[in-house]
Amino acid sequence: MLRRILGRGQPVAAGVPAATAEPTQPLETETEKHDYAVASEWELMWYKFKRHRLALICGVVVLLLYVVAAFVEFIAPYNPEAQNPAAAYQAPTRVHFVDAEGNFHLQPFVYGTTSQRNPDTFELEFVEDTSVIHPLQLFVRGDSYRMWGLFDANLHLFGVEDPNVRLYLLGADRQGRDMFSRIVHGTRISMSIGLVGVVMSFVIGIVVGGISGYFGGTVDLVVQRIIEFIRSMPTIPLWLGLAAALPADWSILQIYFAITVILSLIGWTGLAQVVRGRALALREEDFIMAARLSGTSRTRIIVRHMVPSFMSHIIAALTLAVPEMIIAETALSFLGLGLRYPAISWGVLLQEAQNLRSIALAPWLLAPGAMVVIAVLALNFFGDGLRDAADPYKR
Amino acid sequence: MQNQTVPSDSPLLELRDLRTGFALREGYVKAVDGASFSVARGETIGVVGESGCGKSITARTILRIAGTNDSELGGEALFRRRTRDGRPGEVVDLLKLAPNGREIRSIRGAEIAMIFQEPMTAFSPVHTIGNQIIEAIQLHHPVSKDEARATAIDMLRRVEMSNAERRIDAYPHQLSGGMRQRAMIAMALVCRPQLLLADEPTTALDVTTQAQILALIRQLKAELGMSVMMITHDLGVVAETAQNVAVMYLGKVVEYADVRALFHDPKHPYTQALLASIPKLGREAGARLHPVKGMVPSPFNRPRGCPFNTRCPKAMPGVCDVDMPGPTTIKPGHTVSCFLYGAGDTRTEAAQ
Amino acid sequence: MSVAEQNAARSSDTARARHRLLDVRKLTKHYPITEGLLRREVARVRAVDDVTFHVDTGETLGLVGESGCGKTSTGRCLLRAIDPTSGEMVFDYGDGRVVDIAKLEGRALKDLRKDMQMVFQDPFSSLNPRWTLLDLVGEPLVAFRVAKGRELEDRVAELLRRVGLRPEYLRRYPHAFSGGERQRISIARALALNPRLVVADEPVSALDVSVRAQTLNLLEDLQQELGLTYIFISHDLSVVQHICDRVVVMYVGQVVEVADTSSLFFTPKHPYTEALLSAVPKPDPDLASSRIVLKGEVADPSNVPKGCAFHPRCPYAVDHCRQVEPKLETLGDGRQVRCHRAHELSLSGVE
Ligand SMILES: Nc1ncnc2c1ncn2[C@@H]1O[C@H](COP(=O)(O)OP(=O)(O)OP(=O)(O)O)[C@@H](O)[C@H]1O
Ligand SMILES: Nc1ncnc2c1ncn2[C@@H]1O[C@H](COP(=O)(O)OP(=O)(O)OP(=O)(O)O)[C@@H](O)[C@H]1O
Ligand code: SF4
Ligand SMILES: [Mg+2]
Ligand SMILES: [Mg+2]
Repeated sequence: MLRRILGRGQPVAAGVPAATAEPTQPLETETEKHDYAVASEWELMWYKFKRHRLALICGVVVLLLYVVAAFVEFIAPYNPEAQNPAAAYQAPTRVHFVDAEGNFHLQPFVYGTTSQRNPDTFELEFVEDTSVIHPLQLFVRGDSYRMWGLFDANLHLFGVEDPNVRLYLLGADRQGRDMFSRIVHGTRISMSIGLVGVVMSFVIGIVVGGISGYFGGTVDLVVQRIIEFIRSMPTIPLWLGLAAALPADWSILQIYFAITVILSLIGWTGLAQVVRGRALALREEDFIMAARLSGTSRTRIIVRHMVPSFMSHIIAALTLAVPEMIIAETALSFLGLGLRYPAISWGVLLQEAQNLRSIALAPWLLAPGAMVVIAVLALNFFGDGLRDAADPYKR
Repeated sequence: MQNQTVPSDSPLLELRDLRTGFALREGYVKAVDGASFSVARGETIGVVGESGCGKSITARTILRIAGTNDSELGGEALFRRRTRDGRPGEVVDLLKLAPNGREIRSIRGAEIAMIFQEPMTAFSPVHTIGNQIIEAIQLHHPVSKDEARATAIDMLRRVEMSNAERRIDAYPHQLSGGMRQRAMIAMALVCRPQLLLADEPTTALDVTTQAQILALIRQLKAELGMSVMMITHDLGVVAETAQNVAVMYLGKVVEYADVRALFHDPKHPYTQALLASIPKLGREAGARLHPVKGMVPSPFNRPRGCPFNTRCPKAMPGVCDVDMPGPTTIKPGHTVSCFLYGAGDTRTEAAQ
Repeated sequence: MSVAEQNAARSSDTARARHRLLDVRKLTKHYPITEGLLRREVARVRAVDDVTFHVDTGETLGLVGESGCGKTSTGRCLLRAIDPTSGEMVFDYGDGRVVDIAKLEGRALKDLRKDMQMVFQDPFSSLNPRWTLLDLVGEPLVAFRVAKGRELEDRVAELLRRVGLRPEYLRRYPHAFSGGERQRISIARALALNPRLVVADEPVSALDVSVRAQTLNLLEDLQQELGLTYIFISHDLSVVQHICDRVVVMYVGQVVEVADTSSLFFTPKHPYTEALLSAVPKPDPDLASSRIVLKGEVADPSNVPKGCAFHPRCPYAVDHCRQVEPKLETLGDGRQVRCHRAHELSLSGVE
């Protein structure tokens, strides 16, 4: 066998296996370290990432947010557009465990509310009707919806059985719509606009950055100047200008895509620079040259050597780019230049809450802002953790 | 304070069972694990060993710059300070000093200086080398800037930097590797330290430049009467520069001897193996090398007993892989930590 | 050609007398130094300048010199990892095919890879950390469609065994290995296609002293068993003396001396070789260090001194050296030197 593979040169003494060098000693104790020895890049990243407590927790939060975004209709107890003039600006419904008689209930419950106008101030006031207990239940039937455009359903994750009793976990807006349901629905657009925008910037960034880093030289120089030029432009006025130019009669879907394109036109520069930096570093790595000298084709080098070496870095950079997009969308919509009613995003919700009265009377209308903060922080910490773990081979 | 009755042969620095450990997530690293040797006045001591054996950490522990917060220190490092008029002064235990206190700072740079393998780590890239040397002078001596500059130029001339008046205003990156090394030596020596810790000062240099730098260190040592601790993995450098040599393996000093004894009559199996494994320039070149088998164990997974027992051709099963041998004095000035020569001068020490 | 035929053809190689495997003539590699957006060339680094030498089958040719003298550039030109500026590199397959490596393109260049391989200096950057040993060592076998599946595994396992690694390590990643072991993996990969010539660029410089000896022994054994030819690039003269049959000494891109190892080390003919030898620290405290300490620094390859490139540092330089560039001359005994005074000087080598 040996001879067949390597059998040139002076004949090896027949029958004596050519033990060239004494096998090196086993590393560590064979079994104990075995997992580590055969751990792939992603496993090593996972070991490293796990040590970041905060990043791990934030990762879970991000995951939850995207699960919510995927199942909004099911998670939201009501149709976000269901109006109820009687409940305008109703404060968040209180969830009780202890009833009016002081008895403890294991299952949380709410009381129904009746509204009446205060004769002095003419404000609507809400009074809890403590005679009937309405327990909160899982999997209740309620408003019907069409899930992912595929099938009709009316099952909701939680709610109150009695259709006459409304549950306003985060209060109601001017038209008596349930804020909680609206925020949940806003999650879909707000979280996805970041993803879709990032995917677009990723495509631009990876192509431009890859070209810049792979060819280097003059191409690189020109691309770098362009990137610097784009980066030096103040982003907010630019967004505003571009967004203001969108035709007013476009559909939600058109605006949605227009906005993501605008965001990614500006957001790709950072990604391009990450890709370029990695490509330049990789060009110097001996293993790329070794692959070339082994006769490996150019395509295979790119696909099997270069792209996998980028992947972890790019995923980290992408994760860090998502929150920027979320903030940008929120800002644009808040200024009335992004998405508009009837689209629901956190920015649109904030825009609707844009008056003094609501801040004074119904501060719960600002809850979408809190969601933006949570989402952005979680994504940032998660991305930081990923970035630190992205190069598990660092010596 | 001790007075002038200091015997002239009392050591400048004495390490007694020096220990430095780091608690890391992966485990506990005993970077230096009981190093004992002393450095006499005007002597060059070589510290040799392979990568990761704790050479640098030994030097850094003496200067108290070894990963200050996360490191655990043990043993003693007794250093004889110098009085203002240049005579031997009191003895301090460097390990007992506050790591960033006034006393250690007045020793660092002024009485003990260090040079590194990579001069760029010693220089800040944004200041000229002149300003950095001047700053080093003014840190320890109350002199005017002009005086300090004159001293700096004088020092650069001593390290044979051509065009010292002009080069003093150069930034580190404008100098070649050899010149940077000279500038770093100038900065280290400008306060006339009693002890120079040279951590692989020539490893990154070409042979001809290395020869220049080694000659320079030797000459300055004679001129300034300082002691040098020459840390290197190159046995050739040790043979050429040192009077006494400490061989380290996995944080331990396994053999300590004067340079002739070490090269002609090595006692410790590791020293013997090391000497047999290097190709020697000269007539016997081409003879088959005798490598040490296996590799240096990971610092997290040191073998039980003698640190070398897993690779040692003379290891005695049941002895070497059970207990740690202590330093045994073979003859004055030559100690070995190996069971072939006894279990150690004092059993209590060996039991640790 | 099937593997069997190939091997039959090759085993007849050994029967044949040594032949000239590679003949390098006037090899030159200049790197332009450019400025500005238009990449105007403002100067050029003469990394390899008119280098001529040859390699015979079965020998180890050393390439020594100080940092920046163009050793790596030369080695990479030989493998066409970089394209030379000019010159010829004639490679004789020994079966009638003779090619000029400098002119190879496409298919023919790829074919050359089967016969010329490289071992790199840095054991960390030369192995893709995301690949298992099977992928790494098997890479050339896959690229040339020599083996796949079970057969690939068998072959890689044999290669690993051959370089002293356990075949069970097949599924491990390089991060689980030390520098010395990684260098063995590199060697296994270089040997996968059964090459004739291996260019080893400082293969032991990054290794620990005790591991260095293991690797040198391994290289020697493999050469014995497989009839390999090495070009061994190093700046460490004691290693070169140990392993090389002949040595080429380079100084700022030029060959200054070529000789067989013992002549070169015991009776150097070029003042630079002499200085180099005397500068090496010898691991023997009794060898009084009466060394020649050169003044100045290695010349800058983008600004090579006029006349003899070595004259600013040469202790024997005369006026003629400052004016006229010496040629690489062949002395009576087949040695080559680039020095005006080579005939008159009597230089000392190692004891
Ligand atoms: N700051 C630190 N924290 C934790 N461990 C450290 C630290 N510095 C060094 N070590 C560990 O201590 C051990 C000794 O390191 P040291 O730098 O002294 O080795 P060395 O002998 O100088 O090696 P080299 O020849 O590579 O410079 C090594 O195992 C190293 O990994
Ligand atoms: N890609 C490049 N572009 C420009 N100059 C280069 C390039 N590669 C090498 N050089 C220069 O060419 C000269 C020779 O470099 P080379 O790497 O061949 O030297 P070497 O002898 O291998 O040195 P070392 O011992 O440091 O590895 C050096 O001055 C170097 O700076
Ligand atoms: S030619 Fe002159 S300067 Fe050059 S090496 Fe010979 S003697 Fe020295
Ligand atoms: Mg060190
Ligand atoms: Mg090189």
